[in-house]
Amino acid sequence: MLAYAVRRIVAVIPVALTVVVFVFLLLRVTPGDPAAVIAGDTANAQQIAHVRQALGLDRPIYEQFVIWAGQLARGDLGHSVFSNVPVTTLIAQRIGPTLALAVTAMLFASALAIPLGVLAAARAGSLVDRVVMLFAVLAFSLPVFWIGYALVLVFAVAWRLLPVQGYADLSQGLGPFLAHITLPGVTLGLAFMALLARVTRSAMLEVLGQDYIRTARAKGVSRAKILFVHALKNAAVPIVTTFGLGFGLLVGGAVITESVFAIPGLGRLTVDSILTKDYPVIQGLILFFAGIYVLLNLAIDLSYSLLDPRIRP
Amino acid sequence: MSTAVERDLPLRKPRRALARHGLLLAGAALLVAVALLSIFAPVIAAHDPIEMNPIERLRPPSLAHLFGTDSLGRDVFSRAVYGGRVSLTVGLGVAVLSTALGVAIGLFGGFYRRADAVIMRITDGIMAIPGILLAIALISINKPGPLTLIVAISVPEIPRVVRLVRSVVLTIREQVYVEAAIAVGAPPLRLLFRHVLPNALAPIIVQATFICAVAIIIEASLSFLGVGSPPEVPSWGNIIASGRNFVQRAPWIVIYPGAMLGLTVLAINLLGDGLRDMLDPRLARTLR
Repeated sequence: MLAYAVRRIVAVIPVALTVVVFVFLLLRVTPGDPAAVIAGDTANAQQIAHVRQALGLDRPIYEQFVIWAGQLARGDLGHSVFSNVPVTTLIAQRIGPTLALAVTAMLFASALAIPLGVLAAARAGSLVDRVVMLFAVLAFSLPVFWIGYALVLVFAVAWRLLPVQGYADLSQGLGPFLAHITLPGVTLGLAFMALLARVTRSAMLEVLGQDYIRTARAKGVSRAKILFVHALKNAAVPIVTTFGLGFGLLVGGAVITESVFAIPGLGRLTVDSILTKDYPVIQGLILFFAGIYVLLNLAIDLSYSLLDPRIRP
Repeated sequence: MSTAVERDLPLRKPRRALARHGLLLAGAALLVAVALLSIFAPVIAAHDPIEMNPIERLRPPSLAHLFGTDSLGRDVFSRAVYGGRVSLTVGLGVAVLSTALGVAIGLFGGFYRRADAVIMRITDGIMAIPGILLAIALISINKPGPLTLIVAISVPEIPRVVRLVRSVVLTIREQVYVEAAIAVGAPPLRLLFRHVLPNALAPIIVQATFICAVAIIIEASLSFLGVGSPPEVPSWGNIIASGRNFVQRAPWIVIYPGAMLGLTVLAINLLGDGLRDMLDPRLARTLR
């Protein structure tokens, strides 16, 4: 177990290094002058030179990398070009709402997708199965912002059940927090729910064809117990993997959801920094999210050996 | 390929096979309809998509303005019809570009094991970055334009194609008939075109349709955030963005173009699902 864990952790290092080098090169090997593009169309030569200097683009490329990687190793993601605030501070200020949003979306998606996927697999080919799968394709086809506005129009404008937009921190009380986070959470969770339902269904179909399921049925285990205990446990690996793969989907969705609902989180920070071309902040956010992705998938890799003893080498 | 499908058909319940192909056909028909709408946009659109008419601001849908008008008095239906051109072009462009590059890189890695390790590390690295953020970063450092948009949306998709192609190549390499072909001295290019590509074609086509669907959503999302198509070029994303501040007063600006976008992506997804079930007998068997 320990050897397996160490091997998985070591395997993360080349991925992390690739991300770091890739993000570094992104700005440096782009065709044209990145300083001129970032400074904008209306910038004069002096402003372009200022941007070039602020980003360190006037030095030789190896020197740039050494300085940049050195800062990164100390946990320094650079400073915002506009406010001069450290990028790490900006991220720390904005992470709360995004975390709340992501957790709500994940909880909503899992609570619905897993039972629906199991049900669809148990009655494969039935009307229930087809309705669930059609719903999954539909949820996957609609853009996040459209779902958001449609939910706002129904639940906030027409029925006045929930606020149109905004965010309330948990410190402002559980009621306001839940009222504000529900619509964004559902908006963000729908696409992930569709993905999870499809994966659950196909993983369950695979397992339900196994001999031990037939054995369980033959010895008289109840249908519900077969589905949710025997089968679901054995379908866990692909389902858990989806949480890792779905992370990118969730981050992309959060950027848009926060924009629709005016939530002051990391997504909003991303949009603000694109509109002001604050490249160090965009770059810092990419590194931050990629880092979380790598750690999340490492945790999932390690969980496999707990979920499925056969994977433990 | 078609013979394999025909052989499989009698094993399934005929009714369900029909239903599945029904969805495929529905998807294809819907997609053709949207494509025709975009191609013949100048004929179909009753108004100039960028003509402003201050008297006709925020009018609800009517016979004169099927989808109503926006805050500048522009006809939303005409804009949505023209917007389809951007979405379909970007979707198709991304599907072609990322598939072509992904197949080339994937085949190369599958055949030359020394390059494979490096390629895998790079794809791992790119896949660790959320696709939309990578696209945003690429756009923010390049000159805006349709080509930048297509390239920026393609880059995050390429690793997925590479992985798919590589896994097919690795599976096929183990087949006895490929070993036999190698043993009798078939040159690598012959192996490639006779054995590998024909087997990889079905999953690649299916993957390309899904990439097309994702690309359309990402283009719309980028335009919605203000970094995709410029405001003077109507696209589904920026039409919806232009209606953001009027959602309560004029929901039609957001709802109808969004529904068109959703229907188009749904059509492509149905097409992809249908193709996968039709072309992949292994999966069709597990669904039986």
